[in-house]
Amino acid sequence: MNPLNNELQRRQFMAGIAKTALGVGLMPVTEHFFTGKAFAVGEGSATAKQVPTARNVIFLYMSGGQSHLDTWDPKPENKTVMGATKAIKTSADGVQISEYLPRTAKFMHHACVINSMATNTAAHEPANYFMHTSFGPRSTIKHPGMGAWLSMFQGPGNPALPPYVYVGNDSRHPGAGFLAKKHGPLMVNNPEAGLQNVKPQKGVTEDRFALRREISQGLDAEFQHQFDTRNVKAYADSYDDAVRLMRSEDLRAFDISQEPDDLRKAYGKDTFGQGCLLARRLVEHGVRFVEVSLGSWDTHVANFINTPRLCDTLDTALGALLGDLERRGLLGSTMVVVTSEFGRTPKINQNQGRDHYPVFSTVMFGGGIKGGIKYGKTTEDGSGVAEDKVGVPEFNATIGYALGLPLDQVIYSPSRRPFTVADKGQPLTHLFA
Amino acid sequence: MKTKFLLLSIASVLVGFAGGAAGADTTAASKQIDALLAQSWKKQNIQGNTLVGDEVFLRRAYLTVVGRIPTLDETKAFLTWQSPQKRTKLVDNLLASDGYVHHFFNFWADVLRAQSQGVGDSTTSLNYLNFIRQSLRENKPYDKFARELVSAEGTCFDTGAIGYYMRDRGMPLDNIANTVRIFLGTRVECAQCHDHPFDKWTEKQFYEMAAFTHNMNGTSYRSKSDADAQKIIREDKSLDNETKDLMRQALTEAFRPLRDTLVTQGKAALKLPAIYKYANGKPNDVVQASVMFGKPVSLSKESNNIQEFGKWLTSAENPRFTTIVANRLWKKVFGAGLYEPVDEMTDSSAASNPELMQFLEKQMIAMKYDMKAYLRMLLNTQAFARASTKEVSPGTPYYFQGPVFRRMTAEQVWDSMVTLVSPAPDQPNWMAREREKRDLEHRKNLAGLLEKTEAPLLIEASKQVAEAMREQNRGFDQLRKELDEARAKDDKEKSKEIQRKLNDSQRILRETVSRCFYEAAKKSGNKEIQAALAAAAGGGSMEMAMMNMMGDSRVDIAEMPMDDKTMSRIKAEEQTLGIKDPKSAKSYENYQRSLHQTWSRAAELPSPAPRGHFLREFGQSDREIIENANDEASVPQALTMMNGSTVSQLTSPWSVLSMNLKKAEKTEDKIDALFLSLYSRKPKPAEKTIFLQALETYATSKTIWDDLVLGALSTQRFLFIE
Repeated sequence: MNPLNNELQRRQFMAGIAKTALGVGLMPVTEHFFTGKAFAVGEGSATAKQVPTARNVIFLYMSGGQSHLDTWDPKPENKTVMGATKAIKTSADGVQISEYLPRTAKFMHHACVINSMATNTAAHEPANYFMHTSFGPRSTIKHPGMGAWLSMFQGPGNPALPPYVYVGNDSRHPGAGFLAKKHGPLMVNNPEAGLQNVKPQKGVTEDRFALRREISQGLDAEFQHQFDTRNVKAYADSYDDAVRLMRSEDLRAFDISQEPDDLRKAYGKDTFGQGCLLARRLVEHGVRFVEVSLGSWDTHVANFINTPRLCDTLDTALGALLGDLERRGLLGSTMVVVTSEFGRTPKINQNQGRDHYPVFSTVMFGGGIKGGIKYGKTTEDGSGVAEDKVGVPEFNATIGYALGLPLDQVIYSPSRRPFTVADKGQPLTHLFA
Repeated sequence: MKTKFLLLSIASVLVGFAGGAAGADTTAASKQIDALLAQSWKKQNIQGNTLVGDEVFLRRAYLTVVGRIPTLDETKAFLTWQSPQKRTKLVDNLLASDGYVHHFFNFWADVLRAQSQGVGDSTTSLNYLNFIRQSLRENKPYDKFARELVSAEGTCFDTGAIGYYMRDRGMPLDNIANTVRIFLGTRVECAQCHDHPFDKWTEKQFYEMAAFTHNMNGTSYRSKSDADAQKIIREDKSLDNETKDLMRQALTEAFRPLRDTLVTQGKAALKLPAIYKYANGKPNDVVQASVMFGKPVSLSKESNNIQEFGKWLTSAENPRFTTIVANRLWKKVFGAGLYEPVDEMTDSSAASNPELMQFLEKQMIAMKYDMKAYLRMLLNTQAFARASTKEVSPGTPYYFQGPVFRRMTAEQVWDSMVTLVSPAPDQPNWMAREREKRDLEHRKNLAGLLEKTEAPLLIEASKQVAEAMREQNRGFDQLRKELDEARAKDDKEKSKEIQRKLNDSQRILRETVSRCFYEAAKKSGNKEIQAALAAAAGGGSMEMAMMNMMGDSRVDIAEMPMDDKTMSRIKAEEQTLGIKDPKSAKSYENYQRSLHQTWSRAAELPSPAPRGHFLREFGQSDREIIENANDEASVPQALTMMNGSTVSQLTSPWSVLSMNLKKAEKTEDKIDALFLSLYSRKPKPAEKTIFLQALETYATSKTIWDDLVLGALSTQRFLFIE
């Protein structure tokens, strides 16, 4: 029951008017919605320097600074450091994680935990920016996020859909950075709302929608003829593309209401859980980089109440996501990353909280990574990196490597400054199976 | 007599502000610009574009000066105005109106990257935005405006201009690169790490420039009494470490509302980087401040670095300062600069018309950097009244046969929509401005109060807060036990309730902080404190005083003053709408009262508007990077125009557009009103035919006018400036 099936008929009515009244025809339609450029799936990846191990990345960002000790790097021997948190065994021999993540524990044989992450600042904004871009924030330039690099180098996975989607509400997300706007993420605040403005307003029938288009096109025909500039043409095209998108089957990718109720429940009926479910749908439909963000990890106060609560949300969604991907045979081609801007202090502060700390942990599941392993170590009191320190650029380079991005290819910003993906970080290639 | 009266009333409709801008006579200068352009056209063997009619001129003038399309009344008044000087008078009126402030605020906010939420606490940011607004309102000379920005220090209560340094706090090297780009149109950010690869600037020169401003530190306001209290706590041997931590934290909480409100000038030496690799200096060498061009600045021990820097930067003798602003404003009016890009000048940059550029610089200096006078000169040229040139290819010189055809900025699109919805499109965002005013006053009072509260009293308060925190911690242990049980049973409801209890305890703690510090202040022997407390209580209980000072201000829309003029306007609108019963009248009044909260000019909304807002969709700058707006087409824009709920409000019965259509009785008058409202002109016969045919085809439709309106809005004709 597409409300627009009849548009063609109406168009003909209007084309008649345009020709008779103004002596010009209507503008032709173009090919693609978000990129203006055609790509077959996988085409355009000729610039890859190595064989990619992952087609997609689902990037789960724990905003606020996730306590590494209460999640991926527990120190069961050290009560002073651990406070009320205990460790549990997982599906991987020798890999223990916190008791707050029991569902995820069942998938640790797919996971590589990096316990030796180190960042260069313990302030939220710069650390968040660093994790997303591998560069420090500068007020003279904005650097692209990984999804934007992927889109720039390899084009969109599905030309009908945006190349990169961000589910969350961080207004400072670096997005496309200095790259063209089309490489930036489509921002989704509410995963249950679907794409904005793809349906006519209530009461606007097919007929009325068509009439409006006819009026617009009729009034613009002469104008477009007189001002046949690049941008006027682009506007005419964007309207045609928008109408085609409204009719597109691919829109279903954004509609999580098509998922069975029990699965929706399994992911957790919160924004993060539903965002993870949306991420899976998008990946299935060819969106190759999806970030889902979960906030409030800044547990300066009452860490031992806040962290378990947050972990419940994370664990429910992550456990469901990994199971879902595995069942659908997508875990091999999809890397699920869990990361944060930094970790938290081993010292428990005067408010039973933990403060910012530049040492932390990240986890990668699937997408060609070796499963069931830990990489790097912190000291027994969790206060420093003991071995195999991994910087943020190395970590991002590893994701880029998995996607087959040319890590050493120099790209110039519009201000002619040279940049590479992950700022010359070296990928941890030995972590791949 | 009668004609004269009629003329006056027409002139006053035009912008709702009849003050006019007498100012200096710029007629001769405008003519000289046209002469210089004509000379260059002769040389290039080209001709100026044809002159445009009143309709195109009107729309262009409104969008260029006040950033929105004219209202229906303004359009009618201008088109029927019988005066040979009507264009000149229109320009004067527009320059004198509030619309000018709105429109040029957007421009400068974009150049300066001014954000409402730029830094941790918004007090400084909001005051910074108000500084920009106020500077434009009083037509502060540009050189003074620039000098105040780069020489700003102190608290945000002293001057909103400290926002300039606060914006880049922790990034002094980026800040100088931005300063040089904004005010001197020169790109030096490359030289931050190495000698500039495409220009002559060395890394050493970059550091020498940075040495003027690198000591500008954005920080939080803490009082002298606080420092004393901190010292006493540190040295008190009777206190254990945990208590000391809690007490220090209590003080931090008390001062938290004053975060990021102070810019100070430090004294640290700037050193070359540890990896410096050029022969003209050694790694870690101390760098002496020195200017990159122009008249050298000599500093002594007594010199105030940023004052000296500000003087040099904004001097008429500075070789680039005047050129850049003259060119920037030229571009704002004509759509392209004589130099392009406007902020990437090198020694080899050439203006497309060097004689004209020189003339403009001289005029800018002669006008003492009066931006309105300068704009008036440009707007009264014949060049501005010529048809636009369709496209100018980047990299090719343009000789200004007319302004350049372009898409409206995001702000112009939004503000034009506001014009179609709101009967008072240029009214301030009363709610936001009032809240800011109160917040600022409260923070200022808080600073004054904490400054005067003696250190022993601060300590007493922090001891009480520390005790409350200890109590709270014991509560955490209990909550954790409950949470363990809830999680064991997978009881989601219980777990949520625990979160609520935790949030409550945080709120209670905030209240405790304000109560304890209030009680401390009350005990002070300082009479001024008692007066300040009484004032801050705002008629409520004295206990409320501190809460008010520390918390976010609440503003009730019912407090908004409505003057007689507004009320009589509303009454007239009620007549048009056929509103008769008191209840409907009240609800229409309430609608008008709160309209500004949504339908305010872009400049009165948060800067930038939140992600997802119409403005951002249409390319409003995120104000992270200098001039980061864009005018590119996108699918989401088309979707917004066709299906967005915001756009559909144009056809609500209470929109100005709907009311104007309602007033027009005959079909042809309605079509005229629609065209005049959206496009500032009457329809051509062929366009009228389209409408008449549609009206005939859909004769039975009750929503046909809604469809015609939104169809006509969703066009490129609406979005582009001819």
